[in-house]
Amino acid sequence: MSLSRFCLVALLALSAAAASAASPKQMSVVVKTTQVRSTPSYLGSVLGTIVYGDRVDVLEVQQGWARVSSASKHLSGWTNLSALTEKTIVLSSGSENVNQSASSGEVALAGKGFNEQIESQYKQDGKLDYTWVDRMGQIAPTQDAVSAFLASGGLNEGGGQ
Amino acid sequence: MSGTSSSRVLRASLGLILLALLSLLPLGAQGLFGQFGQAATGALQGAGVINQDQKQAIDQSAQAVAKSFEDITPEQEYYIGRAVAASLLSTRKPFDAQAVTDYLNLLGTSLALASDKPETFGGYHFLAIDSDEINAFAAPGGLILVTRGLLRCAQNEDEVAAILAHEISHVVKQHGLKAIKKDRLTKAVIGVGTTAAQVLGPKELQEQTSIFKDSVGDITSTLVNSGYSRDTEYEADATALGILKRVGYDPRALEALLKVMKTKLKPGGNDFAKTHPDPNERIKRIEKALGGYKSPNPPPGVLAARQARFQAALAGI
Repeated sequence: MSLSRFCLVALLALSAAAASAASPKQMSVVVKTTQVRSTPSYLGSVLGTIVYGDRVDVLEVQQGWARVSSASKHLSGWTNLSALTEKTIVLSSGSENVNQSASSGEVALAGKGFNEQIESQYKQDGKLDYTWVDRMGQIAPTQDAVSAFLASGGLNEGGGQ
Repeated sequence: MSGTSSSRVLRASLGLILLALLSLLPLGAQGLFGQFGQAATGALQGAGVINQDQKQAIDQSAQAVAKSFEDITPEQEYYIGRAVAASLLSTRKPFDAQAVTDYLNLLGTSLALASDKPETFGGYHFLAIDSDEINAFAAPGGLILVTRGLLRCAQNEDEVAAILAHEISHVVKQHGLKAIKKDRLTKAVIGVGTTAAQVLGPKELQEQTSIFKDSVGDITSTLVNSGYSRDTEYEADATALGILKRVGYDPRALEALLKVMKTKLKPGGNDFAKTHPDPNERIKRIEKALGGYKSPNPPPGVLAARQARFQAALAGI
């Protein structure tokens, strides 16, 4: 390799490294839905909602909260880290890289293993009634109701975080 | 049989015995088991019982299995938890009272948000069970059931908070998932799923459903019959103390609650007494963990407000 060609390769490698260092880390939403908030707290006002599998850029992490940005949803704000994973969530088959990435452990495949189809078969085999399980899943006090409950009980709003 | 072939048989048998022993361990023992497994294979190799290749093969399969617990996605945890709850509710009647359900969910959500895992795939949800038994169950992912009998032990809101914080801690620490015998998940989690959301053929569906059913059975029977290990319960207590402190409840409420439960639990009873360590031992550990912690001292008005809503919701429990 000539010296000039070596320099060119070295320059390209350096700029690639610089670009990757500058580009923010990406994470995926790993819960059904979660909120993007104005501040790193459950007290922060809700700016929008992101859903299972959505990719976000993580700009900063602070005490269990990530400042995220979602270009596709034009959203920027704070999301609790427990709702995010470093893995990529693949929601549907067909991606050429799925098998390769899955073997490297970077991808969590939505719907693999235990899924809705298995649940439906299990329910049928065991003649199980999911009525109350479904009802439970729908009980969700609003953030305002939780904040009011904490405030009137003289407790720490924002879940103490 | 020659000496060489008999020693080969011995080596192979010991290897198989080791693998069999490892497969009997529940997932929760994986960390310990990983270290123990490698030390054990090292010892067997050192003693000339197995060779380097066999040691590597055993270590690799142990690692592949150990990895499977972390590979349970929150989505799968959600389906397992729903099945555990459905299974528990098949023999237990919910206590369908709106005021009780609303109160438990407001209080429970307030506590869960202060935990180290405020968000799960499907969220935390709470329901009272129409039973005089003293018991509570936390299904993976956050479906939490508490009997009327246990709620009756609570004398104030802080003590209800202590019950729920302990159950939330089982979810946060994924104790339920760790009760699944580890060999069940290798096929379910690793074997299948090279494509996402694929529709399974009848044979695969049957096989996966059977693994699912057995995994749910492992958790349900742990919750109902055998109970978690003592250390697991102590860990849930310690985690609960942290949650109570963060929210502003008195962590000593857990101690007070256990003192009431102690008087009500029947030795040899088919409930909490069967699946939990002796309340005295738990109280001792809680006292030690709290040490000189200064309990919060809210103004009388605040305590009165808490007591009023506690009574409004649970007076008739």
